[in-house]
Amino acid sequence: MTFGDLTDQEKLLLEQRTSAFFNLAGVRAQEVLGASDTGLSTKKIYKILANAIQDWTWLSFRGHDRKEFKFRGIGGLTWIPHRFGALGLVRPHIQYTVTFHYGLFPNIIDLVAADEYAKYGCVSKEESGTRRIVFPSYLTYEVLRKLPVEGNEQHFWSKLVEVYARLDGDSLDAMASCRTRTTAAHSLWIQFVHWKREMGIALDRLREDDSVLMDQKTKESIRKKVESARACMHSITAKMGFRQNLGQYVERVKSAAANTELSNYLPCLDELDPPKTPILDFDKFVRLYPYLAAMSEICEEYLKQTDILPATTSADLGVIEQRLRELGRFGSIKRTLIDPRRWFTLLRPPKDKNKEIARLCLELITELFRAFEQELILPIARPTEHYSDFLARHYPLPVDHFLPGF
Amino acid sequence: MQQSREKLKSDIVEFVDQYVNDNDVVVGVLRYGSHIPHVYQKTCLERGRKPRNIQLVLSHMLTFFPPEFFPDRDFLILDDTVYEGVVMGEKLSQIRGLGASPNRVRSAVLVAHELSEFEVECPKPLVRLPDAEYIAWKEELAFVVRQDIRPTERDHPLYYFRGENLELGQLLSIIENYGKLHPVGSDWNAPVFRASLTIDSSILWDVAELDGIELDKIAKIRLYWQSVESGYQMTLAPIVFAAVEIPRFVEKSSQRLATLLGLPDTFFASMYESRPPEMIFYFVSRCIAALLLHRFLLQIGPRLQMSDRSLTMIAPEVVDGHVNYIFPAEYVQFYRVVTDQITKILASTAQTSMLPLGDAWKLPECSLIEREPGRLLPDVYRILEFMTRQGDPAVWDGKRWLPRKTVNGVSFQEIVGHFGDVCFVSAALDELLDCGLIRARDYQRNRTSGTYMVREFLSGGEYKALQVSRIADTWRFEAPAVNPTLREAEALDLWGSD
Repeated sequence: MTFGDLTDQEKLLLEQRTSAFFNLAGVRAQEVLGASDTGLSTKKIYKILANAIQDWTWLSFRGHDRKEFKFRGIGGLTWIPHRFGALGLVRPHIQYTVTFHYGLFPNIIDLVAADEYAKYGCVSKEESGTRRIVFPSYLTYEVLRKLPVEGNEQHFWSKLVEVYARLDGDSLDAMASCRTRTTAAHSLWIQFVHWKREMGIALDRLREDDSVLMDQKTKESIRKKVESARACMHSITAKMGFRQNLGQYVERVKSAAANTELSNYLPCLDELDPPKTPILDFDKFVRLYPYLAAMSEICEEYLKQTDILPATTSADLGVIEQRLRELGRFGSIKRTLIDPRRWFTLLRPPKDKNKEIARLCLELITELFRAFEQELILPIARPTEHYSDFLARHYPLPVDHFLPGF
Repeated sequence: MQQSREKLKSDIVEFVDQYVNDNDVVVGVLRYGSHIPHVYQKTCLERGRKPRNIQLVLSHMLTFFPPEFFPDRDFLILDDTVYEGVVMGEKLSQIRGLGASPNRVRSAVLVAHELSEFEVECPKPLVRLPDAEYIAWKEELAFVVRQDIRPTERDHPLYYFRGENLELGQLLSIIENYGKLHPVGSDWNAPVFRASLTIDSSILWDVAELDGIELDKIAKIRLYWQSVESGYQMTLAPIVFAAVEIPRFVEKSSQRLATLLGLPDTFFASMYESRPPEMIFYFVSRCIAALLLHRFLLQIGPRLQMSDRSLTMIAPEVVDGHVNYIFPAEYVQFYRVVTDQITKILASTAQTSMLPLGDAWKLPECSLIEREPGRLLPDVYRILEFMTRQGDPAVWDGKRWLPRKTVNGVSFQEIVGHFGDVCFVSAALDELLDCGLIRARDYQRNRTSGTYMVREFLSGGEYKALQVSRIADTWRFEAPAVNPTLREAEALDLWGSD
């Protein structure tokens, strides 16, 4: 998954293909949804791409007996497990002038405003609070033939997009994130990564300054971090639910693909042979989730008595004790960190012990995640490092079987 | 990738063994056809077998030979591929027009595009590849050619050197005193390091005064460096950009230029009687380039000697091995004079008191090209947009995109006139030539005072024409302004912070 060894020309061709695939997807999805006027929400595009990328990759791998499934790569479109569920994102090859998130992914608004993407006619806009991308209603035959994407590739890519454009939000999300045990494990792993980061930043800030003396802007930024951490917890339960009920989502894809050339193939539920990637155990993540939930609840109880959340109350000592006991069942946690007495002495007046509780929470989080890492045999790093590692060592789709060329 | 590269090399060996006869004069069609014999030779040596001798003529020199060269010889016009057959067709009719016996001329390519209707004599049957595979094949060949110590472009005389005790970095540090250095290409791990030194052409002030010659502001020396067991090997290709009014030059200044280089006074004048103008332009521009090389070596030679680092010239025959080039007599004479002088320059003992100083050289005046917001492509590609303003290099025939058969070129001066920065233009042209997106040619133009010849740059052919067209489309597109609120909202909602 490294593009470092490519020549500038090869990188440029990859970029052109990425832009072509992106625009082809947008045009086709918009057509299927009859949304030429309103365009597509950015979320919808990401989700459709996340699904189509997976099938595209496996189709050309599986369909070795079918010449028309011999594809070249998919440019820089990449399946990315994200805190909002898996997304299809662009990984740039040439030196972008726009800002990257996590040092890797350009903002889609910037992307569609850049010449290589915008020249096909896509624009961003806001409608009823939703950010949308409006693609051209169609691409002329002349333009299609100019794309650096072969005829068979255009045909099957459009078919894939068409199938997924017909799905509802939950199905798109479920299939994008959890269609295999590996992708589902990735989807949980990224939530662990983000929860640690988001809650960690919030607590770190509370450890440094007294929340009573903080300005509104700082409080607001901490509140956002806390909300993000909560969203991670919500997402984990949603993803586990998707995985449990995968059968119904698979059926929806099959139904959308019925009567198409791809009906015998979709959805692709293949996985790489285990030796090809380090083992990612979905069940282990599921088993560890209750400990994360307990930790999350302890943090929430503490936050109740800061001035960060709207309704300031006292932490429920009973809840904290119970959660600490649960953590105690996770063998390797230091006893001194989960002794309820230590927490109780800090959680009750005077309030100025809040900074110390924040410190204690952070210590416990660090300890807990160290234990998670040992159990999972996987690092839980900052998101930027996580994504670098993910792309270098854990990408769950085959990338070396495509036809040569760009 | 590695596997297909080895297969390609095997195919070339097999092809040469089967279709190139001992008595054939192979006309290597520029650019890649002329490299096939070298790829063949190198592959044979890599695999421990002795290559066959191949007699090679570079296709751009065909018209430089006298009429008596053509009868009684067997010619094999060799190109790497045939796309539509335009170039091959031109070469075949050219050589026949020059006096070669039609039944002693054969055409040969390694592969053809599946839509090509052009028939070649060799091989039979011809391998026809669909578009994507054809492009992949050509790109593989381009990669193999870039591994060579010779530039992909073959219409500049090459000067080969070898030496010891000199690291690449040390050499580059020395030569940077005389110009603006640009590494060329992004394949840093290729065995041959490619770079270009853009030099202010005021060092050729005496040539600039010659009647009939308009010298552009900058010249350059391309450098191809390879580390070898005994030290290093280096190829230098000096290049100048000049417009030459041939009749005026021959009448007023040809003697002076010949004298400056050490050629007979009548070198150009005798050519003028019976040879085409492109031949005279070729020798005028390459003579000026050779003068540039002499003056450059006069500077760096003593510096290398001072630090006990050696640089000696190698005869091309040593580098070319079993590929025997056939050159016109004028070229042989020109090359001998130039290389004799180089040998003298490098052999002369440096006097510390007389050591030339780099400071005396005027460095090219470079400025910064301003990046436009909303542009993803690197600035070098802006040249392509400018170059194609007079006509898209690819045309839509209602079914598919084809390369335009006749494309206008632009001169270095015209490009600089638009962009302003000579260094940017010089570096960009090297980069674009290296990756095959553009080509260069010596071309005759008209103006009110008469015809003149100039070096022109134009879009690459075949599928590269389409790629140039795509890139030019992108540059022509006015990138819309981004709504900052929207961008920020997307960043916050979707991404949060790290």
